[in-house]
Amino acid sequence: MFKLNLLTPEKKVVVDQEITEAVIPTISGEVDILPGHVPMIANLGTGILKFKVKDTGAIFKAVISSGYCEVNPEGVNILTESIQLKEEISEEKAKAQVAEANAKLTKESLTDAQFEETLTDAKKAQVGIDLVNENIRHH
Amino acid sequence: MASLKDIRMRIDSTKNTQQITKAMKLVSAAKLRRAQHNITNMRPYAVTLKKVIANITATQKVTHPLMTAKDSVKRVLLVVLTSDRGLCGGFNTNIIKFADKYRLENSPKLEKLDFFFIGKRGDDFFTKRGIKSIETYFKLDKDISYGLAKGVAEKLINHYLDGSYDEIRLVYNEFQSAISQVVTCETLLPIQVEKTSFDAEGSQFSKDIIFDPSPEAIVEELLKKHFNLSVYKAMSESVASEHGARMSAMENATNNAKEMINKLTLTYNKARQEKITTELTEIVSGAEAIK
Repeated sequence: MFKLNLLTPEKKVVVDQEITEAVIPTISGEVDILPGHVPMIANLGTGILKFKVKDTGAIFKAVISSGYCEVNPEGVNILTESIQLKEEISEEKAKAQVAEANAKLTKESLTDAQFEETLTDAKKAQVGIDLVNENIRHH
Repeated sequence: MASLKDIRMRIDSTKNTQQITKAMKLVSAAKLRRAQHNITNMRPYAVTLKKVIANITATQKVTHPLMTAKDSVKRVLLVVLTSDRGLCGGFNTNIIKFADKYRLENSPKLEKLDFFFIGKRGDDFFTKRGIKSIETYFKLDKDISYGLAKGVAEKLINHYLDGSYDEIRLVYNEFQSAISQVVTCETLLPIQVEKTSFDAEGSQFSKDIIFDPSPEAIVEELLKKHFNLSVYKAMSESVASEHGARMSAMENATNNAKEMINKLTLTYNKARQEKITTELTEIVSGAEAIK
């Protein structure tokens, strides 16, 4: 029994889903979680969350950023404020977001916090583009 | 006595009003359902977050500026959550009364008491009395989203961390049910973490847990999340309360209109019968006279 909960303040995305493996983008890089992993709490970075559903073997993918994950003997809890499922990502929109953020970043009037935020936005959109194009590149 | 035509007109206009209040009631009921949905969706996230914070702070002995209460509270920021529109019974009045009372009772004791209004009603009331707020937010019920709450929460945290205020309190209507709302005053900052439910020995929460990057950094992140969530929760509750209050206010208005229509119809019929009787008497006496 190894269960995954994926929650946001606005909706329950995945609840009590049995999984066999999860790849979580933490602040210091991707972490591969298998059943029996030592307990861990980590802050999330911006990246692609993947996990394998136990019964069907289907792989779930989504872009997440900002939040934390908790691994305990029963499973994984992921709490994030922003999630984009693969189906929800539009490539054109994401590209526009990257361009907009890049334009903003070159301006000098940004405060540190604004700079950081814009950088995260750009990264999020870019990761989204990568996720959409992933299949094309590999096949 | 009012003429027949006058009564007729009053009945018609009351009927129109009744239709409007009925429609508003239905709209509020639909909006209330959505707002309630929001609240239930948020609960698992809130519960998990709270549990982890309590666990970490209990096992790791971490402290954080956001959690430590100041020795003396001299400067207070009061966040007042009202709605933008009226016609919702005592919803806004109760909040405003509470906030005003708080101001009168506490401002002599404090060095500084500032206001932060969310919602037009509260802002209007206090602006008329010459009390300025440091910031205002409108249009809460249109698009209540976590993003909006996060924006407000970040502003509040900055006000607290730069030392402008010792305490940030929030006044809002807590949602109990569609017909009852309770005015609640909460201390938002410093954050009070409940330690009651936690039992360090019996918990399966291991002390040898891996923290990435460090317990302090994680607690900081979690506290900020927790704070964002409290603001979001208060906003959602306030919006749900608003729709609930409006729904019952409109229900009452519809019932009153119905009662009024019944009374007016009775008066109308009486007047009509009287008129007929008078006319009949006139005709009969006229016919008698001709004979």
